[in-house]
Amino acid sequence: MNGGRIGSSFRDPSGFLFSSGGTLYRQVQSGYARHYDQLRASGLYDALVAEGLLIPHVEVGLEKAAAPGAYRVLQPERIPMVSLPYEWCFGQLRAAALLTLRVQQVAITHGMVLKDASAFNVQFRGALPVFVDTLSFERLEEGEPWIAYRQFCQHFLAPLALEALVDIRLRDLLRSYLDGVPLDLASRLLPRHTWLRPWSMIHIHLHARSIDRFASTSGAPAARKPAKAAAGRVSKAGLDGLVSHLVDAVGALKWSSGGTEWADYEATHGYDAAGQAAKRDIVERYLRKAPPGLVFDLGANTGDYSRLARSLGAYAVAIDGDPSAVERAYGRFAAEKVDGILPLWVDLRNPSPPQGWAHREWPSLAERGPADTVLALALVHHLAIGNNVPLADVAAFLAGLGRQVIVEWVPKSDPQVQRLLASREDVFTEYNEDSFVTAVQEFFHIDERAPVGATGRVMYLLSALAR
Amino acid sequence: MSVMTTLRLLAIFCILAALAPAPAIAYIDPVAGSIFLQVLIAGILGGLLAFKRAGFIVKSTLSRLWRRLTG
Repeated sequence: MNGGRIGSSFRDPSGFLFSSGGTLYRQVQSGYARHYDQLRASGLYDALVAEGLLIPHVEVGLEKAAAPGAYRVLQPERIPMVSLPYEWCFGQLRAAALLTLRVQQVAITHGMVLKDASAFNVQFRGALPVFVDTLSFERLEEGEPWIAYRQFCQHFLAPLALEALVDIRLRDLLRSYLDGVPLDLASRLLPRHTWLRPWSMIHIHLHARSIDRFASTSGAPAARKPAKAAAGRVSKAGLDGLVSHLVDAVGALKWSSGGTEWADYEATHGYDAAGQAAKRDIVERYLRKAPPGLVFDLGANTGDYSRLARSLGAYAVAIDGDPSAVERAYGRFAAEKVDGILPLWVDLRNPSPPQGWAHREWPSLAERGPADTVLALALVHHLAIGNNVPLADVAAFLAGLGRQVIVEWVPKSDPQVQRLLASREDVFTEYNEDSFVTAVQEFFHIDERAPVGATGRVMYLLSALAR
Repeated sequence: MSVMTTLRLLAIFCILAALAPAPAIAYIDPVAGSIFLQVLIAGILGGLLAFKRAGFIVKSTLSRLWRRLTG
């Protein structure tokens, strides 16, 4: 941040986000005044907010401005937990794409257009996407092409196509390419048969070649003309047709998660009914002791404990490294329009780092905390044995994420741990409950310890030591 | 996707493929190529949408008529 300015908010001269006294504001600069006025006067703002498509805001006094040149200062509704496109499952990216196109369609009917179509302009309130960049709208000038068309294809269409048609793990390209997957790369990675589908032929393959054709041409600066003038005009009907074609393209893309070890975890976690009930009772009792607030559910699988936390008033972030499990969780929560549980597909062995310009554009997962409560159920053995992380480092990691932790200790004798050890030498001599207790006491006070029925597992409630 | 539309798209592809030297007014900016393509395809996609909407209107009118006649 720079004078309270949010790290990612520096590109658009129309305004910027800043934080003051723990409150988030958006400053609208004078240069954007006519567009902002049209957003309000045309009824577009009201229409989008009424449909739940755009984050609502209130205008506050100009004395709140953080820099010269302010036209308005807005206080947008706060998103409980910011998530980033490279943490979303397929369904979330698809929903964000359809939301962006819907916003564009409504904007066109009000004589405006999106000048940005970045996936970072979408956030989730639980499982419900919402457009958050109030300054992305500008007047629709008759005949002007859609300036954000390429950005939409890079941020949404290309990664969705790659995930659905090549491999779901290509989602991680979004971590490297913060302005979306370059279309020439997507074109090269997609299977040849996609040349026969009109949407991929046009919006990815031909698009990539057209970009390459123009970008690779050098010329004297004086000979260059603005891109808009160089290319010609696009009628409003043409713009409608383009957006409608993109809606059909995104709508046609589906990813079937299928069964994986983790998506089927509910049936294979090894707990009998009594053990499961005992575990749930203890977790619920511990959760009731904490203020609801923000809960990080690590290794959430399909989000059952996130749902429990939500039922007790928390905003739960259900984090898991398995795309099928997260897809299933998101599908359920989206169908139920749950606004208090945010599923995220994050590999905890390599959680989101600080990203972008000067490491400050997009914060790491931990920087978006701390959570009021961290749930680490049946997780420690995966980190300690599955990923060779020393118990002291596991404890430090948990301490960096939340003020209070509910953590399940799974002993080496447990069948699930034995499964992990089946194909490797047991070099984990330190993996025992005494060492675990010693490790967590570096960072936490142990508030409670409770055996989970007759399973041999133990549930701890920890509070961070004051530092 | 009608045969005509497919033929038009193929024609666009041929045009692009044939564009060996880029236009003299080219601008070193990925947006330029993106806009160039958009100008080429928007008319067709707009026509396609109008065709779809007209088809929907005809279909819904006919089904309304059919319901009235049989209902």
